[in-house]
Amino acid sequence: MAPADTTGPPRCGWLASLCAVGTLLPSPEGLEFLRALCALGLVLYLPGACVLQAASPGRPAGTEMQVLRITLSLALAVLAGLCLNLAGALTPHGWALALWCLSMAGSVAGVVTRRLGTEVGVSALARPPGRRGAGRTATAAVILCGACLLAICSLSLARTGALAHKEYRFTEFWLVPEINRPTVATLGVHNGEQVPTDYEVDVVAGGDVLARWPAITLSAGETRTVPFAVPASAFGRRVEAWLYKDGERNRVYRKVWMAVPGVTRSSRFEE
Amino acid sequence: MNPALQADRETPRSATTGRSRLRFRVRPVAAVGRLIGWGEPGLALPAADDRALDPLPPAMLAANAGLALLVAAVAANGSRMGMVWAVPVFYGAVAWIFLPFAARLLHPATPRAELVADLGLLMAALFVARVIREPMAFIDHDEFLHWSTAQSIIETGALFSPNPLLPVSPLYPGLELVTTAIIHLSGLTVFDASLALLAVARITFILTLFFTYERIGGSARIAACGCLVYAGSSTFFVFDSQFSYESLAVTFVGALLLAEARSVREGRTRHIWLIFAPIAAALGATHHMSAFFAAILFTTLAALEYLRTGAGRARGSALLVAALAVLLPVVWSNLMGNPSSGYLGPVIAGGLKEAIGLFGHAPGRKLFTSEDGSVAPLWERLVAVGSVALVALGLLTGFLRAIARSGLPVAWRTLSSLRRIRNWSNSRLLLLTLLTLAFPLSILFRLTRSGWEIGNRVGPFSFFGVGLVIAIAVGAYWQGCSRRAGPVAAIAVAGCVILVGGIISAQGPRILVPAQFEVSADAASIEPMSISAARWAKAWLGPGNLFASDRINRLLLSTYGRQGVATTLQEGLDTGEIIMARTLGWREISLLRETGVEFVTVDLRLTTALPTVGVYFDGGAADQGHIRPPRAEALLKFNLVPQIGRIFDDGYLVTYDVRGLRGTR
Repeated sequence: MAPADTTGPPRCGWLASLCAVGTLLPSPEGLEFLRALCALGLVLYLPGACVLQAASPGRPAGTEMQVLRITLSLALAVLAGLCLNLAGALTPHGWALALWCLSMAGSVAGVVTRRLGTEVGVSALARPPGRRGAGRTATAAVILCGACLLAICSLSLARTGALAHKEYRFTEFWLVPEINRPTVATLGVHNGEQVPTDYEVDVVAGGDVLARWPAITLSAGETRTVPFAVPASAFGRRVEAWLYKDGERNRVYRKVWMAVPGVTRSSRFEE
Repeated sequence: MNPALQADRETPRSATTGRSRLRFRVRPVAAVGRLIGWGEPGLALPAADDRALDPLPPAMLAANAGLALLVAAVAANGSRMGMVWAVPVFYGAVAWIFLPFAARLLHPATPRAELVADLGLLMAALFVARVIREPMAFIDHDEFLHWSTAQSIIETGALFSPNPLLPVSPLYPGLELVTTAIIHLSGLTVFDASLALLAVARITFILTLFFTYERIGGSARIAACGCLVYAGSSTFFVFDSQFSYESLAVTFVGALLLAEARSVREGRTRHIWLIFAPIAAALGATHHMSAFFAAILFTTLAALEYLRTGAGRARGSALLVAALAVLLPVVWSNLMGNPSSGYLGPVIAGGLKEAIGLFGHAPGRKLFTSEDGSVAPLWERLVAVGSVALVALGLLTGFLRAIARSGLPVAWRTLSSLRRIRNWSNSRLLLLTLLTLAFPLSILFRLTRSGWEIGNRVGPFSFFGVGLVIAIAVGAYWQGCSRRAGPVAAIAVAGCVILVGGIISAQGPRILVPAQFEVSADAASIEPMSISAARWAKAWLGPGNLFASDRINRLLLSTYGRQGVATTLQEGLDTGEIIMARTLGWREISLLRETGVEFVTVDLRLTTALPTVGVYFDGGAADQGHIRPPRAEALLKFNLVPQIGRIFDDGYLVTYDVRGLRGTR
């Protein structure tokens, strides 16, 4: 005897409604995975399940039909997305509504079909489930949980290794002029050396030191920025910023520069 | 097997008792005929055991796979630390996952329900092994192309935004649509949403393949064996499970085959209109090449049904299915302006030209040698060649047997047998058997430089037939109904060689992320410092600026940095010439102005080695046949131009502001 299909048309519709609501409401902290589950159900399974259930209400759904439901759901999601694009509704609400409507359409059609009594014969390849020993099932469940745990541990181990893999120790240094004020710039340093590091900065133009910042210590991963207004004396020249590391003043560690436009009445800025 | 020996495995007695009977005859021609199945009738295998699922064996296999995955993770981390044992151990872990499952799936006593469960678990384990190599973020080249398209959809709320990395990608947005739906509804990141989608797609695909093979081949055992062989396709482990449109498209193709096969018995109209049509439409909007393949496949099926004597009403259904498989993708392609001809055409033409040249003794690709000159280890070469040899042997021994099983007579000794040539009973089996003829073509293409990509892409489609035909060879010849551990183990090991050889032929020694950065090496070039530079661009320059950069950094700038990137595919102009030129002359400046490039990012690491994939940029005329890396002076020539600002420097990557060359800011 084939198993009763647990996702009959009304249940299918209710599930879709629940999932649609679950994706739109904010999830309580720590329970975000529930929203993800609702989303995955709504995108990857329910529309196809409801539609195919409409075609074969009351008919047992073996594994073969289940995989077709998933694939049909994927296809319906693609087609729904194309329609949503036409309507300019590729938004969370648009998606929830579209997938819910598809599911409900299938669900309603299933109810109507069932009431009309149009049953379909059982597939020649349908397979009946059998009884299984409860003890073996429990043991298998425990072992399967252990297998899942091992898989999760392996992924966690791989992630740890990937995060720890940092081949390069580097310092990022930049001098970025503001978009509408080319004589005002932001000077920035980011410490990617993986250890606390001391930095000093000189700003020069044509050999003249325009500004000098005292040594600062940045911890690993820290970023420091400072605005810099180019003095009028440097207009029309290249303004360079030189970065020294760990007090080594005889070696410019990083160098950046910007080309400052020449002075005009309209381009005077406060310092 | 010694051709002088004949193994009579096909007599009704041996089929019933499961024992083989050896006769010693030295008749080479008869032996060869026996080997390839000449004149054999179509063998009916006993149906698979219909007992209920005993969950204990699959659970134990899953636990074993879990242990193997731990080893795989250790290997992946070892690779990042530069351990030489890492890659062999990783491949060993994959084999460790595969072998026990294969032995169980090949055993004739395994119940059908367990075959399904074991296949699902095996595919899940192999998918986790694939994720172990990229557990944090995308690392494969093509994944960035589609990630960029997905990001554009999320940011703009609309489809068809240009993607300079792969202009055709936004026009086939199926994968990105489903992914962004999950993102919008779940709040997951693109990477996590893609993992969930791809995991479901992978397992669903292999199960649809199982059920398709079962319906077409008539045996659950053949179906399970066919799925094991299919896993040996070179694209199975990485390419068709990565965030790329073919990954979803292959799932759709499998479902189309199943829906069509079901329609024979289950009710044609319902299956064709309710299942086949939407999936065919979605496939048309997901991947051009897969849609064309499906169109060719179902058109050929319709032709076979038309030719078949006694097809009757099946002809009409086959015609309808073919019409849907052809029209829906054609309509989509026309709506999008036929973009794939400009994209696929030159690749196919180049590959064909080089493949034909091979027959004229023109040099092809150096096998097992990267473009940077590095050679794969001996054991990898042996396994890869062994894999192809085993597939070839399987096809040799399975082709005629599959033909016979489809009802087409293979021993045409008399005119009367020729008259019955249209009396085959199973067009689907015949079609998939003929599909295996694409396999040697795919190998031929893989021997060429420009056709390697075609050969690699033809693989998953030809393997639809290869899997089934080899499974028939195993069921009808190599194993039969034998339950002895020896044959089962031998075939499981052969399957394992095919699987690992398939992975090696696509990935080779670069299956894992190495310890050290490699120049222009796709996954081996993606590292945190470059990602940080790309993120810097978004944070400090804002999104949407136009950058010129090398092959790898443009991926990162487009995705992490959300910058526009100048590519030959999009602009029709090769900005790599600007970066590689020794001086910044009028030609280079004109090119900068013509493309509208605002920033140039140079990676000084390009000066340290030749490009692993053969090109630093787009593979333009100036980016071919490198014999030495570029000089640092060439890459740093922008320092000498007064109008150019050097706005970012991390010691390896330097970003120049070239807007001053246009005379406007």
